[in-house]
Amino acid sequence: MSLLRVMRAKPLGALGGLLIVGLVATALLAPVLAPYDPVEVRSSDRLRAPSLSHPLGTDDFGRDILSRVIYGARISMLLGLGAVAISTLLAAIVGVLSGYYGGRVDTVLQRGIDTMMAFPGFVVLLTIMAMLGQGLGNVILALGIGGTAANARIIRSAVLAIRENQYLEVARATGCRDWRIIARHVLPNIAAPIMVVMTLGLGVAILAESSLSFLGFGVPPPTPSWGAMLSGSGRTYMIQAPWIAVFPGIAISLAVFGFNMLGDALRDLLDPRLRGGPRGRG
Amino acid sequence: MKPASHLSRRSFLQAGALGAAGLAAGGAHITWAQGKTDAKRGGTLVVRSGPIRGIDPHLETWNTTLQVVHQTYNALLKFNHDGTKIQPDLAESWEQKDDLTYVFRLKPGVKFHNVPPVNGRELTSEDVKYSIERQMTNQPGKFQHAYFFLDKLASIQTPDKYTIVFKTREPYAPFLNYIASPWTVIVAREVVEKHGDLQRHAIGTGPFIMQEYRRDQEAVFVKNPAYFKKGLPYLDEVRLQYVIDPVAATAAFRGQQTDISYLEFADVPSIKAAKIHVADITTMFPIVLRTRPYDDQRPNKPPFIEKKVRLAIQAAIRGEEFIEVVRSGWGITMTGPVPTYRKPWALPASARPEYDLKKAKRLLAEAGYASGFETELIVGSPGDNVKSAQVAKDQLAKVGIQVNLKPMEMAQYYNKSYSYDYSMSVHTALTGEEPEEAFRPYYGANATYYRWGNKEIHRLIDEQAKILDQKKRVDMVHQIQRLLLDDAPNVFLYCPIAHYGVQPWVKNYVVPINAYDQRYEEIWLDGKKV
Amino acid sequence: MSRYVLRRLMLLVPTLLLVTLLVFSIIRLLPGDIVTLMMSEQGYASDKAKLEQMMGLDRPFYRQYLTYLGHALQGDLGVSFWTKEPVLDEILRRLPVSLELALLAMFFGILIAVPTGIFSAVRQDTWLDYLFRTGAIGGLSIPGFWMATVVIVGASIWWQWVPPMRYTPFTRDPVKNLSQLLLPALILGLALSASIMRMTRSMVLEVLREDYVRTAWAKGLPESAVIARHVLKNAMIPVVTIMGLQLSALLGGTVIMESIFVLPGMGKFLLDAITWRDYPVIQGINLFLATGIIGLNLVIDMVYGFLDPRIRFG
Repeated sequence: MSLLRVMRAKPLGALGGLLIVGLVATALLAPVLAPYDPVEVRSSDRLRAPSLSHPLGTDDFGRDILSRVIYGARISMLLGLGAVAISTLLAAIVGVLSGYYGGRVDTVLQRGIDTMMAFPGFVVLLTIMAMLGQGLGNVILALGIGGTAANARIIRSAVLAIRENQYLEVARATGCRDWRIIARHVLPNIAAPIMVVMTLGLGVAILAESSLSFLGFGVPPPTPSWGAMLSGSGRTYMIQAPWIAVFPGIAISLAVFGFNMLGDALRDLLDPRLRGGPRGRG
Repeated sequence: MKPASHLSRRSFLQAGALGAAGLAAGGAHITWAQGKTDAKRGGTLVVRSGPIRGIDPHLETWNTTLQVVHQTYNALLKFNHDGTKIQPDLAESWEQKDDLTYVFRLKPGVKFHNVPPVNGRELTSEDVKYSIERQMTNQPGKFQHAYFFLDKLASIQTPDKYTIVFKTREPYAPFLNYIASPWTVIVAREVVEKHGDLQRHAIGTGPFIMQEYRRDQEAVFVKNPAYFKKGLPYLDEVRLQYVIDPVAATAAFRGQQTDISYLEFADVPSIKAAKIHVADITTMFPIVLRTRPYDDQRPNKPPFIEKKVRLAIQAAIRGEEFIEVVRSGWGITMTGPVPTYRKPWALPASARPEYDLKKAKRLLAEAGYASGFETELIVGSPGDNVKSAQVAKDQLAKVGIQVNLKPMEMAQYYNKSYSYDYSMSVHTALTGEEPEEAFRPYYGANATYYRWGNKEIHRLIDEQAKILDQKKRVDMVHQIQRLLLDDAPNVFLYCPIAHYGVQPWVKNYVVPINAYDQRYEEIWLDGKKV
Repeated sequence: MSRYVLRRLMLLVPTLLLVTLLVFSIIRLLPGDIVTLMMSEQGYASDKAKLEQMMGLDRPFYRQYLTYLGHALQGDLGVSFWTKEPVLDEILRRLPVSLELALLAMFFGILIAVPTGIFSAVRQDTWLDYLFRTGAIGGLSIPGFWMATVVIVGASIWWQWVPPMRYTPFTRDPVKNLSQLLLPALILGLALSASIMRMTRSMVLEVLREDYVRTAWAKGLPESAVIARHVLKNAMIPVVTIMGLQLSALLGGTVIMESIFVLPGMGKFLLDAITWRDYPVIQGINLFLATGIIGLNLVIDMVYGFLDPRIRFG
């Protein structure tokens, strides 16, 4: 299936994909795109409304909002990718081991997952942040750990679903090593749900960071994270200078929207049961 | 809009001109107004509150504690709203008999609240003695206001039920100011003995009786029918509402859910536009950029052990930019630890360290840091100080000092702050009507909030308290401040200007300059929609 | 069925033990221990030992843990380090608030999500589908605290109205109670509805392809009847599951709404406890929540079994 056909079949997903491409491009090209330094304080330029020299206005430190939003894309991508990488890795280890070996291993690991899931996600985040302190790395770690349990369960179900696959039986019968079976047969087959999980997780991470920022646990200043811009000066100067919050807010929404749409489309495409519409109406 | 230049408004604030000598006979037999006749009775006053740790006036330092304390307790004396006069509260009269002796007479018939364990018994001089002695309990750090009188009093005598005689060991200039401090309220021994401390109970002689207290939500007080000031209070009920989120709090004020509220400066223009009265108060809480504390037990370390480095930092900091960026102009610069409006104790504007980047770079080079250095700065989050920290970082970068910001939760920040274990920090300092409150607990010999091992400054701080002659004392206080500017442990950034909104139906209330003063007994409501 | 329940209950025990142990250990690893904290603005060293002894923090870890466990089984979750009030009482006082908020949010979430999910599925890949899905994701993409801020500030400026900032229990004054809770519940529900909607949509899509549904169609049954009779019941199963998941997420995740709308709920309570290192409260809340959630999952699994006769675990 050519890409164009796919895109036409799933326009929302295509839109999402485009947004994400834009996000990644912005993140990568930030130094080239941003007209100003995002962290330099310029007290004479405070709180300027959008204009030609500052298309998105300036904040209370005189920093250019456009530049901060552009660099914010970097932070969001770092956050998202970092958190998802950690949580997917951990979840995959737990989920694959649990699903593949079953039995005792599964029971023990399941207890562990249940334990983690008994803690409301945000509680876990807050506790970890309180332990580690502020910092971009810590936020990534916290988001990664927080997202592990739920993903582990999903991956485990996916592994369970293919465990009965003939391929595996044959491989085991011929004395193939476990890890080779996992690497060769299990992993490629669960790649689909993993991809969906990762895509959706990216959106969740970005949103979670903004909530953490609101509570004071997010990325420390002067790092230009969208969440910090939205929840900090953005809220304080809501009435006087709404542009400080509006643009990062739009950025967050577009990014989350994009990831979710893309994830949805991926899920639809990769899950054979859900293709096509109800046929055969009378 | 930018009051930084409107210091003339503050000119009436001759606060602190209260050397003991000035107020020898503090008003013989003054009686308070027996209730104004045009006052309306009844109603509930709702005031915005904030986080509280505990409500024991002898242990705590936050003004939210006093919001509770001032409803239920009285003090011997209190300040008027701008801190220029001392007025009677529980004391009917007072006089300073000589350099070392002060005599107070209580009004007879003052009763504690009619709740257990005091059950409405009469207040006597023994209660005053007990309270002052408790306040100065020698547990350094725990009883936060012990430094008011600890080791300064020779004796507290109670010759009869309504008379207290204080004798100081040496002439003690701050004495009356500390007696009139918002923290020096009179408590009841039975309550302390019953509960161990007063952190969760507030039973005194005050105009309101505590009905409900939820530390993280609200405190509700009802009128004390047996209050000794006849005719007061006018209100039936006072409710302190804790609204955590500042945006929601301002919205609550706009939505007429609170009657008196601290407001964020960004919201003030729209509220003033709605013709609601907003008081602009220059606060007593300066923001300070600190370098590493040190004393005999904790020696200083490079680079801050070098005076030139500290002076370089001082020269590289420009206070006006903090006010501009962090407060949108709502603040005043400082000339030293004593805020500039506290005349004559504050240094004149000419004494202010100059902003001179070249000088800063030169000093750094002389100290051996020509290419600058890297250091860590801690600050409590969330809050304005995080913004100040960013400005400081930016300014210091211009002379090659790379500051790594480390914002941390308030609890953790204070932890580090009071273990004196940090390189730099941005801190909110405390001052008071008594000028030495701005430096004794920070740079004195037994300082608790900070530690500075400069023995000459210790000595001078000890000395200035003994000078009863105001003019001479002012000179020494100036000398101390000049030494502090020369030694530069801290850079005094600015004093924020805070805003308090007061709804139009709140009558007979002037927002006091001292944010610690939270007395509402003379307020009445006229026209509040229920 | 009962054997399944019994087995699940038995598995409950080790899970709970793990939970309590985890909480017990982790909070003691938080930097800035409580003793130093309580003395922070009170920096004396001599009494530290005494304070530690008073709070039982000087005894070895396992003894602290076992004592705590023993008490917990009797319903005593200790007293708060700061307020000296019994932890269980404080939790029970705040639980109704969070519960009411969570349930209302669920209600709104379902109210919005199920109809739109069904429509979206039945009209798959039409503009209506796209519209609903976009709307759902939109509701999810805007941070809740921002929506709440805009609404509160806007209302206060244009109508001089804000939701009451003082909590009244539903039993005392339902109108006042609801006027405070409606807005945060709606905002939370909006975020919730996105995931419920997508789940509903995919489940309905799946069911629509089932043979017996096609048969019903072929027989000429009107669409609404098909939906009502066959689709709903089966589509509800995973929705119920996700509701369970969401509810547990909700209970902890109401912190932000509680902060903005001044609700004395568990979320803010926990946040404060973490900030002030109030160990007994942190432990108590986590234990309480974890037990509740595990119990809730058990209930949901049983409802699951009831709804779909094919999924009875014997």
